Amino acid sequence: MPIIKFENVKKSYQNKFSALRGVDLVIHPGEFVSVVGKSGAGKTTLVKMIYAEGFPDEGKVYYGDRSTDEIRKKLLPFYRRNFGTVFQDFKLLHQKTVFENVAYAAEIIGKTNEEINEAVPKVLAVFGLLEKEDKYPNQLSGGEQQRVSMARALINRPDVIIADEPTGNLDPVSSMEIMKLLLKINSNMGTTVILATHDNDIVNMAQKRVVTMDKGKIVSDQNPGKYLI
Amino acid sequence: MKTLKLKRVIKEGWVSFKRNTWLTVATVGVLSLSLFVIGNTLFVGMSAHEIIENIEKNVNISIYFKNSVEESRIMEIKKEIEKRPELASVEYISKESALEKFSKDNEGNEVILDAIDEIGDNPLFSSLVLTATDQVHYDLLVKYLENNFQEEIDRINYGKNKAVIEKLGRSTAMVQRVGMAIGIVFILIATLVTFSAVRMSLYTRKKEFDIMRLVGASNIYIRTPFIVEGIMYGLVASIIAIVFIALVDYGGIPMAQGVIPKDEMVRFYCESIWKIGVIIVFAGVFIGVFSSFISIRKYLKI
Repeated sequence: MPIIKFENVKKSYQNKFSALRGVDLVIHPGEFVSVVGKSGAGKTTLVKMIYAEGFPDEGKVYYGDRSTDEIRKKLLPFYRRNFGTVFQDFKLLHQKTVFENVAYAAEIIGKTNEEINEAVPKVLAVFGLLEKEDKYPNQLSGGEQQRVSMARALINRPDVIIADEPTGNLDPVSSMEIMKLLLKINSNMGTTVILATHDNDIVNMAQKRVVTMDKGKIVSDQNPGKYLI
Repeated sequence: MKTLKLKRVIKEGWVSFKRNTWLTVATVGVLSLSLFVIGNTLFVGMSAHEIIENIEKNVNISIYFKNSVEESRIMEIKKEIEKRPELASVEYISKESALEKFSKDNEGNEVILDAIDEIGDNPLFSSLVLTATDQVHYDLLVKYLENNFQEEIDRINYGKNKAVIEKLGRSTAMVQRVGMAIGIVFILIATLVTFSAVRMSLYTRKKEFDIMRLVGASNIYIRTPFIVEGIMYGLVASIIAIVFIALVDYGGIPMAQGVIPKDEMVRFYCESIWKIGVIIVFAGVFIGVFSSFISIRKYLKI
């Protein structure tokens, strides 16, 4: 059974710009899917619909067997806990330390302090951030901030990691590092990863399924299912 | 789990209160000032009421009896008057006691004392001093006395007091109305100003809310620390306001001297200041929480 399914999804914005024009897409658990395309191709709109930050004008987006338009507004925060999100601008809480940023995601789902104190150092170690746990985001490099963002996304062991242009603000070396980490998460933990990017180098490095978008449509879907774990 | 989350959001609120130093100082400052004005308005209103009540307590009427009326008859009249429900107290002052008091009051005034000696006989009248349960009853008492004991009474000194009593009645009502109006205006101003300060504080943190929502924090989890922060604003501002109200109002006690004895005023101050303190704490916390709650709603719309 697919973990995510788009059924003829259409979406326009207020200025009549059609971001998605009838998208059909099926993603299975454990897949690593890169969504590529130029700016304005509809990549971000597509991934936003998965974690219900946007909703289709027409068609449906399913997570498991549940359509996102069935989720009551009050329950949206709980729905979003199924996903770990990573963004181009990192979206870290600047008044919190590295440790606190990662712990925050665990706190909101009600993990105990003991559980948090055990889990956070482990995940920070995976991302090579253990020595930086007391630093604030503005004391870190772009690559380090993105790794914190990934650690936060992973702390609750979500089913799906959504990375929207995670390397957009990073130098090539840091970009490769982030890509390697995403691949590691996918292969070692079996977490589904959906990566929206316009960086062909990192997509080529991944050697995974590539969905290409142009003007709100999927124009190619290469190697679907080939790299399933 | 709920207790754990509650502890966390309280901690978040406290940390945020401490962290945004200048915003906290500005918000607490504005709220303290508003609460200070509200508290003082309350104290002035309560003091005015106390002073007027005190003056009213000392208002009475004196009935002077003709010299021909025997003391036994005056005592009979006193008993009759005591039956009146509108009477709070009645005191008999004999000619002798009246002279004694007069001489004492005018001690050192040779001219007056010589004049009394010159007359030879006691020129003063026996009298009854009446205090009514309420100032509005004096008219009724006077009418009763005039209708029933006109033959025995030489004069009643109500005329002069009547004007004072009526004026006091009007002043009490006016002070209460004006005090209430000023109080309401300042509560509104305090709420609006605090609301603006909190709103500004939240505006700068809009991005934070978006991030919190993206990582799956529920609205209540995001909102509660700000409510806690609102409580902190209210508590700290009210404590500051109470300290200043207590100091300023204590300094104002001498202003009431002459109208009300100092001991009486100090007693009233001690009784009132904690009542005002409780009101100010409640008002501060309410304004803080209300402002935070309303301000953050805007940012939590999904």
